[in-house]
Amino acid sequence: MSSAPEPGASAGSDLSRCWREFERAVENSHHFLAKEVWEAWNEFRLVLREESECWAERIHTTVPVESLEDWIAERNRLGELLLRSPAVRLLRRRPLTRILQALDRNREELRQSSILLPDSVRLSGPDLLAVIRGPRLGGLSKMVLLGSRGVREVSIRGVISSDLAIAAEELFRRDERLVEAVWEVARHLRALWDIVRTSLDFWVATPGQEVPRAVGSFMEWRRQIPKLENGVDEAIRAYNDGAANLLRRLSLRLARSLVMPRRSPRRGSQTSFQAPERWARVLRSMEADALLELDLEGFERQFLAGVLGIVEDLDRELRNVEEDVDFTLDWLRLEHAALSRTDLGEYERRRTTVPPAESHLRDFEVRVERAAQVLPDVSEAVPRLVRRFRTPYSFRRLRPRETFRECFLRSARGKFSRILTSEVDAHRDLASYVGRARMVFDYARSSLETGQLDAGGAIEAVRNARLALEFRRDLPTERPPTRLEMGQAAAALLLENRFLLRRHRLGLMTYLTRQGTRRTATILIGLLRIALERAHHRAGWSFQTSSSLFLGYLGWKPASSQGKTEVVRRPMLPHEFTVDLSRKDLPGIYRHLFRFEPVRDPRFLVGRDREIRAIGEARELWEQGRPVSVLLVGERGSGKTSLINCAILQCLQGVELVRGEFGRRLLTASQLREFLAGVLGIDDPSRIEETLRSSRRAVILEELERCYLRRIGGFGAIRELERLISATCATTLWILATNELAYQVLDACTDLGSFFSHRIQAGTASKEDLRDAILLRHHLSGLRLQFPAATRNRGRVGRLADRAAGERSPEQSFFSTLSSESAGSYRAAFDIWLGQIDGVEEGVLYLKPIAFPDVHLLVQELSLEEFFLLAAVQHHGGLTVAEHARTTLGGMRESHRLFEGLLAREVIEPEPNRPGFRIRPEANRVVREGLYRRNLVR
Amino acid sequence: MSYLEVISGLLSSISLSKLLEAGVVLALTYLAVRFSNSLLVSLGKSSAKSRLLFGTIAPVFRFSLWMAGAFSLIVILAPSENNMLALLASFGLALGIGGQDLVRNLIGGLVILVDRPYQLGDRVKIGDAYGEIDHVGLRSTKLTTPDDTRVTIPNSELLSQMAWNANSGSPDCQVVTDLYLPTATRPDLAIRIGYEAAYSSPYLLLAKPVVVNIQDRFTEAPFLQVRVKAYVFDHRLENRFISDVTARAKEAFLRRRLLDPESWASGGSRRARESRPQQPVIEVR
Repeated sequence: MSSAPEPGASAGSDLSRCWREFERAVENSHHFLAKEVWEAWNEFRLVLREESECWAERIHTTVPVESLEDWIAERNRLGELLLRSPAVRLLRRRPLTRILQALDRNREELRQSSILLPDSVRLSGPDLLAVIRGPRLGGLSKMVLLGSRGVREVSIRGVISSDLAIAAEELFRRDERLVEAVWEVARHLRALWDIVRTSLDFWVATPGQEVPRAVGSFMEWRRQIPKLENGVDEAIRAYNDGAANLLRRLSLRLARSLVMPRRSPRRGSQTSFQAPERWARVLRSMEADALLELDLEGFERQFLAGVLGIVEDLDRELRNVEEDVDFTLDWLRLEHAALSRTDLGEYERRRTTVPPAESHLRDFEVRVERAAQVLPDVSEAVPRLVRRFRTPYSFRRLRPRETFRECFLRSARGKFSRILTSEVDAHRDLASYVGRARMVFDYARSSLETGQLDAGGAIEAVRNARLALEFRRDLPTERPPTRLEMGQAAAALLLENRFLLRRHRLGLMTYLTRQGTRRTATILIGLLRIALERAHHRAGWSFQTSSSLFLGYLGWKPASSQGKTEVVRRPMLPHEFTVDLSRKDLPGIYRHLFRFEPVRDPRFLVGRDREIRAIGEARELWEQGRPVSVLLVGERGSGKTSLINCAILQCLQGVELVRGEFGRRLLTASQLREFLAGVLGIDDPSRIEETLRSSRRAVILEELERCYLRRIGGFGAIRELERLISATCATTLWILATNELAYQVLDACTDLGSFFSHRIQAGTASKEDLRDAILLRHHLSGLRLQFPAATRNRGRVGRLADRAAGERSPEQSFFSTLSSESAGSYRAAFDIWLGQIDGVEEGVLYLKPIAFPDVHLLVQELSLEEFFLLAAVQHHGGLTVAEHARTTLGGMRESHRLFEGLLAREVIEPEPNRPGFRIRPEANRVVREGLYRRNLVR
Repeated sequence: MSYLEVISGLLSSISLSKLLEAGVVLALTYLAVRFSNSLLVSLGKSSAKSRLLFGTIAPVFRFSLWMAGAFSLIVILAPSENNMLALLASFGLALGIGGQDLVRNLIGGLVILVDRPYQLGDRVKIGDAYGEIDHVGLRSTKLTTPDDTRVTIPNSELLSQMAWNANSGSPDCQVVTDLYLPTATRPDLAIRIGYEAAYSSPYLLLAKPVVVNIQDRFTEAPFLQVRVKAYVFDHRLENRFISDVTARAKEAFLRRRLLDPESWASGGSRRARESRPQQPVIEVR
């Protein structure tokens, strides 16, 4: 609004009118707020008085709490009376909301009131004095205005609106007492219920202890009411005074703006109206706090209903068991008739099931959780309104639901569990007497039927059973009643929960301050006592334990074995090593391609070019008439037989071949000669040299490790073979194959290596060879392949190693692991590959990551003798128990024991198609690692 | 500066808090030594090689920890330079009078750590004691004999005595087994049986050579001594190897009647010995 400045009286009269309207608007807004506060206070006062009168009448007529039901009923009744009905009434009339609305309206009206004033006006000091009227200004101000006779332009709206906000802010700040008074009233309204409830709960939770005096507390509470009334009256009066002063301040400010026009407007005018917003937040918190109190009461009501429900369940269960007892007793009383009748048949068996205490506890927890849902997740509260040193109000965020859950789990769950267990145990004990009586009856009847017992004995047995059951039924229980215990635990939980909530609401220090010196001291002493009791308990336990250990150390007291149970499991081969192909759903072609057989097709022989070339070279030399013999050395499963198969097809074509393998153990020269005669197809073993010299041929013999036994006199056969090779290698191309460990023994003992011109070490395959061999077979299956994600090493060192190795593809990672786990053996690699197949779906073969089973325990558990046995089995390719007994000094019994132990650990297995045992292919890695650790292999 | 002045100076510089700190440092050092020892022992248990490796590290570790503890004590107690010198002088004097042996032992311990004539786990012979070293300390060295007796040798003794080390930090060691035969035994047969007995033993380390020597000896009567020299893969198995080779060889000698069965079967009555069935003879070629 902009109006042209008008000098003289007309401008003054317009301004005077506008000013009056402005004054009325400001006064109205404040009066409305004061009226709303007053009305709200009246509502509260009414409720307070009613509560006071109501409780004063009933305080001496409270129902004595004698049972769980009484306590819950009395609690509910008083909760309804002292909290729920007043709160509902207040919520219906909504005094706090009305104050809030009045605050909003007040704020808005103050903003709007400045619009009533003109933007700027030209007028003199006396004119302005006439407008704002004398009484609002002091004498000095009047004199100054009367002296300012010159007409000046005054920016009325600008001055007033900027100053109005600041003045209103100051007014609100000064009159915070109003809000504080309302807050105190609201708090006091809940206090009575809190007193009554605490008293009731304390009564139940601590029977026999002194209960806080409810009457005294009530009297104290009632004495506070007049003080509150005075406080609120004073606050409203002070607020009204402040509102009146506001107009005076504005008038003065306007006068100053005329006298000292150059003065800049006051800063901070834009940050006005913060105090009402703060008030609004405080009032909202109060409302939330009141609602929380209602929720808390509702929750407690529901929680106690849950407690009562569980107790009733237990009662029902007990009644059922007791009915069962009565029924059984009735039955047993008829024992004469029952036992004498043959057509009796089975009597009706009432079986009352007594569920375990855990089941009841779970049920109870469900009920508790359902009750806890009533509590709000988060609620905001104002701990105190009396500010010190102009610090801002602190708003606390409460988590009532979480607080209760923590409280329940920490201190109450164990108690409830113990009570339920104790009750259920009692029920079970009673039920067990029923079962025992039935058992006696059944036994008596069956014994009577079979003639093992005469009628008198049977009747006596049944009578004894009946007496025992009657005795148990009439036995007075020594346990405290469950209802009482449940009530105590529930009351203690509710007290603790409220204590924690109150402490969270106020903060620990404020809470203690509120309690007063004596009460604080009591609380602190209580806490100290609990801490000391715990410390004492722990110190006692520690002393007892350490003293018994010390006495045991001195040898004065045997070590306690009480409660020590131990299950020692014999370590076995980890199941990850075992591949059960029969359970895997693999395509037929896949099974065919990866079958555990030596390769016969040279296309499948991977990474053996150098070895094949060496055999070809040996043949060439031999054909030149040079004495040549070849020894093929390699680990089991490294592909020696496959190499020979392919060499025959590739570089030994056209050569007369004699092929055989040492199927049984040979020890002496004569045994060897007989074996060779058989291989060569001659009848007379003495003609072997003659036969071998008569024509050129290649003799291929595998499993050379079966040609000796590591004992004195066990090297005859191998020595004879060496002699024959030396004698005939010019005409016969000897190709022998043996495993690595057997070669080490024979080379050390009989200098085997020196008898051969070529020694081919068919060692372990490289990672690339293994990958090529596997993928060659896999691609022939036509399936696509899905590798698992690259496995990460565990631990910091492993992660560092991963980082150093850089990013690897899943395929690289998989084959790297496979290579290290298989130790370069084709057989082991195929095993692992097949074991890692997760499944085949829609033409895609899925692999799973290679597991790292822990073999340390198994390796540690195996004894040195068992390792010797495993080494011996590896040296000889396979051993029978009798053969092993001949290599050692322990005898057959000891060998049997060792073999059986290793069989039970799944480390060895019977050799297929041969007598004796061999190391399981799956256990090769474990055995190798164990032998290496014991320094038995290098 | 008199002795009393030193003591009073020291006492004045020591407060209760310093004493407490020193106690804590001592306790922590002791615990650290115990922990490191048990850690190294458990790490060494995983294999024969690692046993010796960690055994080598253990004394150095222990010595370093004690030194660190002593240094921390000096830092905590912080005696003045004069007090320190006076204390050292007094300590030296006291040791000179009454603790020469202790100082000599400590110096011996340091020499062993530096010179390393043996290390933890080695099989050594020092003076009359023979066994496996299981503790190398600053004051003494302890070894356990094959008959499980612990011998403590002051380190000062070691400085003036010869020490025979059978394995020098390696798990394997050479074992000499002597077999005794009548002087008329065929030497080639004796040697062959000696060889095969050694090669048949599971304790033999195949990677190292076996040597069998024979020699005619005379003590109360003439006899043929067969000496089998071979390596076992773990020196702890020395006695088992000797026993194994002896038993195998003796059995072979008896089967071949190189020894008198009557003297072997010393127990039982004459009739029982005569009625015992004859062992079959296996020809060794």
